[in-house]
Amino acid sequence: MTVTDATDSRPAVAGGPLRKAVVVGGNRIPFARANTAYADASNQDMLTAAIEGLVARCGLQGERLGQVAAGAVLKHPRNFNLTRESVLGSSLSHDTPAMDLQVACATGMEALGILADKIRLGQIDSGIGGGVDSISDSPISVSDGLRRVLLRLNAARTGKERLAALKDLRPGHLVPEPAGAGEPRTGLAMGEHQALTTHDWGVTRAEQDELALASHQNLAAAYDSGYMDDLVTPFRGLAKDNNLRGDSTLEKLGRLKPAFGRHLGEEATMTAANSTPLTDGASAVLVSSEQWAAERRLPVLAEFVDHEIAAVDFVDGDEGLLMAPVYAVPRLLGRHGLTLEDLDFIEIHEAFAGTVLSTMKAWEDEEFCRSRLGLDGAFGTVDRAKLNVHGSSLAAGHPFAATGGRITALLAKMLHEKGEGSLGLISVCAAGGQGVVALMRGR
Amino acid sequence: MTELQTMPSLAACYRAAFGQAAKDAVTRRRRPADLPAAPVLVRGHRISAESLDAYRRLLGVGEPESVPSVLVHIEAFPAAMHLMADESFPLPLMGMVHLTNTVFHHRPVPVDVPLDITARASELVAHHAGTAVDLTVTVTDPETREVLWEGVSRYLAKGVHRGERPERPAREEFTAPGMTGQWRFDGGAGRKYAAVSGDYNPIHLSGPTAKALGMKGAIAHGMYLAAKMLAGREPAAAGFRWEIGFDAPVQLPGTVAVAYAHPAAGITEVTGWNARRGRRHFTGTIAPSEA
Repeated sequence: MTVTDATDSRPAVAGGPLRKAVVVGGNRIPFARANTAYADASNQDMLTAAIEGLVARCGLQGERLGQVAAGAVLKHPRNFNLTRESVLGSSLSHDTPAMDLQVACATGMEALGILADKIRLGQIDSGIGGGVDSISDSPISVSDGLRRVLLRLNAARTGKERLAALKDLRPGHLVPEPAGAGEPRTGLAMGEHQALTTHDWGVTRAEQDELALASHQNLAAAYDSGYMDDLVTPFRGLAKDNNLRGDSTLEKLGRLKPAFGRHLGEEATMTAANSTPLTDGASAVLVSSEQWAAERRLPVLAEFVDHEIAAVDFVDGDEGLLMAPVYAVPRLLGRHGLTLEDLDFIEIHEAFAGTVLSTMKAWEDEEFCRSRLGLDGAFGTVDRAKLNVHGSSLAAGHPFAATGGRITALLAKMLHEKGEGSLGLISVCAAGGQGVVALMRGR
Repeated sequence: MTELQTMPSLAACYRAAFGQAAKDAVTRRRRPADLPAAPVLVRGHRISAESLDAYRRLLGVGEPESVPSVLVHIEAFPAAMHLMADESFPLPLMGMVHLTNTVFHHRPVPVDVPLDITARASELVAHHAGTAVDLTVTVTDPETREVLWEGVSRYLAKGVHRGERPERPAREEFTAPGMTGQWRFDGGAGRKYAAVSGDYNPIHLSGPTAKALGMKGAIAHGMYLAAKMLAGREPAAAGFRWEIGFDAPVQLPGTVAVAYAHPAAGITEVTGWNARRGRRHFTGTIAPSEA
């Protein structure tokens, strides 16, 4: 068979050119502190609401998308097909396939990155990526002892076998085990890990409280000016994130006692205010090819240019738990010939104020950048005027898997307003010493 | 050489030692001065898959495929206890304190194959607080006569002095290293370890049983700390050595701050301490055999 001049219309996987993946729209429900407004909402309820809000906003009723990719960090085993069930519960075409994935707090970013890659390759034309998490409705496991008894009981065929299985039951087996007790290999909670990194980089309490205050003030201003109107859809009586304290002051924040790193004594600096609270919420972002968006007269907000998932060896303290993005960003920008100065907006997920500040200090440190990042000198300074311009997780809260979608939709809107060719960076750290970073370009 | 066809039970060892101690108190018997020359040999001991499963469940790690080094110690330990519980042993077993452990894990120890286990008392060492004794345990493949594992455990009989009495070394100031992890032991940690190791020493089981033996409360088993130290870090092909030295005991329930450091390639140094009180619990090393 002779190949004719049809090269350009062929997808990249079939020998054609790569095409652009673009962000078309986003939606999330307001984030709620754990055990408050969404105490009775499940992951399924929240993810379906976020997707359905996006469907309504973009007119996708009955539409068959290429794929919906989302996940939750804390997930009930019965929700093994969480995302597919949310698709079936939405007004998207039931022919839309879905997948669940999980990369801890970077779940939403990786979901979007995978969809963008498939769009670039021409395997799909459109997709929704996002995530959800509920602390209020988190799964509780039974102990391994009780689980083994129950499994043996289930497999038993005779009364005698059942009795033998029950004989091994001990009172201690009945104590339930809540999910998420920190890093399995170190036994340290994430906040305790960050407290070590924060301390290592000499980040002060004042710096962290200032960053937290700015986050609240910037997000409050965004809500007040109506900037969040087309990014958030009210849910269960909540119209905006209920962790937001726009009227907080440095004095108020300064009065809080340290919550993490208390073993550091006087040098403990991390409090409940400069650390993200446990939060419930969900987000969803629509990505597609340019042609798909044009055919539906949907606005192209930004191009999802590239993303990278990274990890560091934190187990014996060689690197901080949440420092993977510090390594990934120079690689990501490097392969596009960019530096921090070329960026118009920088979104560094505020897992803790200490994470953002340690990240920036590391990039300013010549010795660190030479020895650890393999650069010629310091990577650069983040211009605070470009950093988390409309607030970040310290103010909004951080429902683990939902954070990537929150930031991507927000940054796409910011880049679209900034104009064609503007550049934005997203950095999201994650448990397990991992992280996902992404580069976006305004349209 | 005392040859045994099956591994002795630890409970029987404790009972014998307890009985002997009571009898000695009544008859005012003086214990022999010298270590028993004859080693104890247990032929054909098998480490069962069930033991391995129980150990893995406790530690929460699957590796290595073969028997973890501390489980080898647990399985071979009753042979040494048999020796120490005997009336011919110069030091009283009851109340002995674990000071150090040094293990050479030469080759992987397979599950469910016959192993020859030899225990001998190798040395009496004068200590400022009493007299210490080294028990050397060797695990051999009966087919190839190859030594798979050998470990020396040093125990201290407090208050038992035999002649020379060394000066108490000046207590070194402990400066906590940078924490890299944390182990939490709940109140039942001693019982959980006992269920896996078969070592139901009352000082590890509960507050009341420990207090009955003059302790402040239940303390974590030293070998449980060694097991945690090695969890997930044993080279699959063996050929490594490890050692651990115990300082202040870990009160149960309790939290141990730990620091893993790598001073040279392949060498891991571990410190465990109480972050609140600034007291060291143990120091340990994991290294290739030749290092």
